[in-house]
Amino acid sequence: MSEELIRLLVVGVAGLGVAFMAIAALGINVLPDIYTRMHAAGKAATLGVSGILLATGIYFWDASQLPRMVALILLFFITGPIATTTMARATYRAQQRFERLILRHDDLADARQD
Amino acid sequence: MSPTTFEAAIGILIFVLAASLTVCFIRLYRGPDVPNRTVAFDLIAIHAVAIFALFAVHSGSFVLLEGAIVTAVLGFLGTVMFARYLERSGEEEEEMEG
Repeated sequence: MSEELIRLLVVGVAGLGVAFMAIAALGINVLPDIYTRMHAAGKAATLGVSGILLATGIYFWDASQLPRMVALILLFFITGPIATTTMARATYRAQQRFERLILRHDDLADARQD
Repeated sequence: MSPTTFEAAIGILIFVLAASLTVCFIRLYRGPDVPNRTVAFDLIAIHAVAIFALFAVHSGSFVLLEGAIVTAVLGFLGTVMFARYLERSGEEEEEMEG
């Protein structure tokens, strides 16, 4: 693969990642509820940072940085859902007023009344 | 794509990421309570990792990627720590009420 093509690929993948990161940053400001904000920050940001790290790994292909970047992407794919789930559980358990939720189905409501 | 165009494109991407980071700080400032600020903190840590990686590409030195790895782990630990703190404080309030 020629140098020109590698540069084009790096800019394309990194641009896609940056677009997703910008959407995530916009989402936590526009969306109305804490859970919808977690939804924006947990999914779009993971995909965006994965794209940027993949572009970085492709760019440093000669320095053999691609396996480390793939490992970092795997780390994000493991830690991202853990962090979001832990935050959502803590938020649900720490809140005081339940009627303000924008939840259509509250599966934990029965367990809460016990 | 020539090297100068590539450098300019990566610079523009870093600029867009910096603007996005500023938007995250708006939520960190405005967030009504601790969970909203924790979401903003998580997103800010991920933005820091992304800016580290793109700056390594921009400057052509892959040594900076070590910083990206450390920042990723520290951001995850910080988020989980905030969540544990939130959950623990909720339990204490329930115990005090009961």
